[in-house]
Amino acid sequence: MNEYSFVGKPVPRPDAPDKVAGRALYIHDLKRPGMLYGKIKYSEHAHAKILNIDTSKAERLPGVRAVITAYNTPEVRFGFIRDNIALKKEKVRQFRDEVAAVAAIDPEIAEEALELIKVEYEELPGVFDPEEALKEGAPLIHETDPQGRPKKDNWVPVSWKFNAGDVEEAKKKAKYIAEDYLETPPILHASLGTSGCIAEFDLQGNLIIYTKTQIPFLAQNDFNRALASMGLKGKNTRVIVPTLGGSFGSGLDTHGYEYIAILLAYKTGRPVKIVLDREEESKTLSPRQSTRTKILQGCDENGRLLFREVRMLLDNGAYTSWGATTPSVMMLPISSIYRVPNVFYEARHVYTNNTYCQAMRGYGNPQAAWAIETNLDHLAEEANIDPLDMRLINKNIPDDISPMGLRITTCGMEECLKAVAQKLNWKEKRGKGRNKARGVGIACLFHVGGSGRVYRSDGTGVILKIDDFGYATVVTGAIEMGQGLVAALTVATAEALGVTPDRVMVVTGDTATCPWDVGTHASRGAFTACNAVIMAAQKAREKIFQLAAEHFLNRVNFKLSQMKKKDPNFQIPDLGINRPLEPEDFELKENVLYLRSQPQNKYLRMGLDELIREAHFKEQGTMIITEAFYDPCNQMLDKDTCIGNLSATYIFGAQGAEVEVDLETGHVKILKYVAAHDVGKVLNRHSILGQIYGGAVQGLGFALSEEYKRDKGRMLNPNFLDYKILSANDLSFPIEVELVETMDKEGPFGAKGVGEPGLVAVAPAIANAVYDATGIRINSLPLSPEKIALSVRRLKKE
Amino acid sequence: MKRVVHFTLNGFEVEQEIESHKMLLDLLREKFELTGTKEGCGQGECGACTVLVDGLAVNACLFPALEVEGRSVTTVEGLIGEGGRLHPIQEAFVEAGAVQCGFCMPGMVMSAKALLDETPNPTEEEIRRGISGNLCRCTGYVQIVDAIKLASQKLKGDGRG
Amino acid sequence: MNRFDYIIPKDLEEAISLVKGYGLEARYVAGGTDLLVRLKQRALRVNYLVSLRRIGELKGISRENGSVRIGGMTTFREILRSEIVQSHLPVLIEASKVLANPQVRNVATISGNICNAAPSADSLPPLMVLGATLTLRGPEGDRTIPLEDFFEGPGKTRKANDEVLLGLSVRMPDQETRFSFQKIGRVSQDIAIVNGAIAISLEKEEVRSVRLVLGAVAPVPLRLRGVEERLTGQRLTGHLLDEAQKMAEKEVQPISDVRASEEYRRHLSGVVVRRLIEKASGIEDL
Repeated sequence: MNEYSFVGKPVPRPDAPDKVAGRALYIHDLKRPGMLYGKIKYSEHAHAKILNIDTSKAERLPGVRAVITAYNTPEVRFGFIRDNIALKKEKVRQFRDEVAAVAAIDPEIAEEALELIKVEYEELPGVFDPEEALKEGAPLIHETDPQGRPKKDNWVPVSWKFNAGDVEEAKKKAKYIAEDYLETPPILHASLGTSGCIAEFDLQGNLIIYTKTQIPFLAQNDFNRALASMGLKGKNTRVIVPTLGGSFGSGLDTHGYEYIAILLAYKTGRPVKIVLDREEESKTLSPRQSTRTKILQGCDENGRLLFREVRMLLDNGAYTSWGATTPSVMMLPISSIYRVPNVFYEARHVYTNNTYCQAMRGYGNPQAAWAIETNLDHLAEEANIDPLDMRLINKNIPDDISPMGLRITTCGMEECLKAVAQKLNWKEKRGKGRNKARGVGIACLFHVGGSGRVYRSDGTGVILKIDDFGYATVVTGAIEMGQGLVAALTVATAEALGVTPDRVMVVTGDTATCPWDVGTHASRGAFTACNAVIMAAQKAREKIFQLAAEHFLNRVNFKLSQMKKKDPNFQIPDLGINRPLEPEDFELKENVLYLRSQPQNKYLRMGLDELIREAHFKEQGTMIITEAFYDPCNQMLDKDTCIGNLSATYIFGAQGAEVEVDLETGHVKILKYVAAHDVGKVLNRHSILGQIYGGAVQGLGFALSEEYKRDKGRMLNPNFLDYKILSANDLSFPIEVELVETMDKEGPFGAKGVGEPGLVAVAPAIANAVYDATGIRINSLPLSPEKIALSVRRLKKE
Repeated sequence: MKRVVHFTLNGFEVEQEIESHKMLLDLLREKFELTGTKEGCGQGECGACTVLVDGLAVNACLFPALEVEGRSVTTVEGLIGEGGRLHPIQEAFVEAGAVQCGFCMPGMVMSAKALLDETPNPTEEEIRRGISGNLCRCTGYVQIVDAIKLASQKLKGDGRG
Repeated sequence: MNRFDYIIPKDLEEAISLVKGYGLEARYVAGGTDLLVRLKQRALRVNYLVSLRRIGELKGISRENGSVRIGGMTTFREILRSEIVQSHLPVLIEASKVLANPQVRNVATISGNICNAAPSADSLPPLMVLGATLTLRGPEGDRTIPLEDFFEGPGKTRKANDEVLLGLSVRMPDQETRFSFQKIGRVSQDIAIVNGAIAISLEKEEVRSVRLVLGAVAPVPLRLRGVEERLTGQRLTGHLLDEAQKMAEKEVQPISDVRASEEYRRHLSGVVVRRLIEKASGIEDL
């Protein structure tokens, strides 16, 4: 194994000092000269015709600079299938629909102006349940598709189907079959920093937008289309991304408020800032979609899985985001976690008058894992096999190809399962604590670990430049959203180039200066950007060594002659070099260039900066700037069969919990939580642990307390008072993490992506532990105290 | 209605005119451009706006600006020493890997300061209770608790509060 | 939030005359942790907020003639640190500990918790079982009112808009009376789904007297008189506890809301009553 200088060592995050000092600048902190503040007026109904919008009073309010509606602005279409428009015309389809917006000199005036806008509606019957929405005679959410063709039903024209082997045949052969119907609620990303943007135009009609996004380049594309709709065809957008303040997938789409800020900025000719407050963020940003899943798995008498059948109905809400593609990622575990030959999977999205949904950390996998892993425990019970053994029997193995065509290279699933079992003392504890309402549960995860090709390009570009002082600047389109991209890139650059981490500066988040990147999602940031920077560093080293071959010895001889001048007693040593030096003769490590043949010779060592200056400050001098574009060796899914190797490598893990359930109040007390993850290789221990702890605790919220609650499309808990993310007080138990290194050959230094997997397996692990403790299966998340206590109570009565 | 408020801000006597319905958070961010103090929820649930008023941690989003009259306010910016030297608590957060998106950090650091000022050797439970008014969506709190333990040790060696 | 004028009066007299003068356009504000949230949510509009925060005579905790007196503007932080409360009213400490979070406890006051009249307020069940009496001062002078008679509904009390809650007074409990407090939320830090407190005095496992109050199960903090009556004079047995638990489920009048269903609140009411009795009496697993 390589001996690394920085990879795997505790290198502090370069972005941390500014953040703890309050110096990092988020969208909330940015101001532009002459800036106005925008506010949006939302629908008062889930489904209604707009009869009239009267903005006259708002327009007269002192301090107001513009009031816009669909009736005085060009139509700006957006969304994954372009079924959404920035300002609604004729009809509203959800409570968060934008009907008007104001720009004013301060946010309070803008808010007062909103209250002066009067909208007349004619309420229409709404539909809030995906199954109801499919019934004959259900209200139509969209009368036409985005192309203007009439629509007859509420199906979203995006559906997913995968079929391998013969599930019906396998059902006949199966000795044991378990069937479940499992649900998950919508979940808020709940980033502590809310969303917002500042839009402004230059006098050539180009847009500059500072915005909280994970996809600056796809956003540039979206916004350029919006400019075209506004009569500014051919004009360009510069997207600048401030410090993000958490995102978790909420920045994977462009949003209504961004288009509204653009329209207001164009109308007023001034920069316009829109920042959502917490209530707005909760109500008007798209949550993780809710799922209803019917799942069957079957096995033979030895517990070997024979088939898996999954049918999912997804409540799309009123419009369609990139979230419509999450079934492609759900498909990975559904087709490929554990070795299962026969698989059927179908996922369909339905329009309703609920808020429209988008992807969130895990990209559908938490919902899929919830179904697979709880149903697998059910099957294990049917077959009278220990759930741990069930998983070991069917475990994924290295160098395997799954029915979906996923090429599994490295795979640490077995090590992870064993680590969790050992840390939980599984064999001693499982099935033995029910008299004390104590139990243990386990669940596995399978996720993309080498990016995921959901867009035609899955690439990341990097520019690497080295300045006169030996500092390496890495410029990339990948985004730091808190996950540790900058830290990972710093370490990777230092290691790959041969400089110390303090000589690395990372610049991100500006489409005008940074090379293209598809976006920071799919746990791909570090994987692709580090691979790109390794390529760029390799190129830089080649150039450095070429320059060294040219200049190194001249410089050494010059310095020796200078020393002789200063001190006549100085004896110029015999350097023992009797041939011209070649690039291959050199090595660069920790900022120092030296000869491989004489690494210790102090006369033959030179700072990188010194060489660079030598090459730079002369006639026809040169500088070192390299670039690389890394596009992983993965495939887009075939659009008919859904077969394709979506990711360059896959990540595996197992998580488990020991819990004690208060049968009276229904509270689940976690005694211990264990997570074992195949991470390929640890680039930065602190960062990886942070991702796993953070993912696990988000997963615990998903498992136990988080739920977007609504009544006929209206959100009931748009605040932290009633949308319960966990606080430090809820975490009075140890979280033990085991990092399994499988050294993936596609990964940078062997590393796999690690951003999302932490939360994928949590909910089923907890549900399985609760079952072990109580014999009760709750089939819908969250496993709230209320659901558990009332189930116990009903069980007692029976 | 505009009124004038006089108080001590990060060690300096200041006076400022402000509309009387504004909160301390507005005063700090808008009038003094101290944007280190963040607004995460505006309703006293998340703690991102935690500052110290006469040494006590409060949510600046729910603290009327005029109520700081004659009082002493410390914000995250007030912890920074000469030449941008981080406070030992801030150093500990960096070293323990407790920082991700960073939005909750200024408030978290201020709650840690309030806790350690009063309880220099907190138990893990006291730490968790001490930061229970500060939500973090990224870290799962584990490394934050580690950081505060580390800060407690650092402060013992350092001699400054 | 609408633009209101925030006024800091120099003394109580000025405060009262301001609110009397502005009438319903004005409100007193204590710590503001509840009122300001409602203003921000636009659930409430006012034109004037008159601050009580700097009025010295509203602060402090003292012992007077066998009673503990707590000034209205005493914060929960101060209550938690008060030796008087710690030694004489530990049940109020228990409730104060789980009330919101440190930042809120540093500014939220006992008068705010009482006057906002949230049915779920954590300090109310303990204060009610302690038999607290409130003293109000208005333009017409002072009056006292038992806490138990103070509430009319969620957010509604017998306090006139221009009256200030000067403070409350609690007779120091005798040695025989034992107390306990319970709070159930969805997560560790939450508004109570059900909370409750009990004051019970026993003689050889026989209940001599009992006061039992549950919060968040009715429009006002609710005294469970039916359960109290059933318990009084009886020996504490497992059977009696079962009965008390069932009676409590019936006696409460909870609603369903975003935090819990009526069914769950009824169920928890029984659990809380049982646990209150067990914890206070020191008898478990009857």
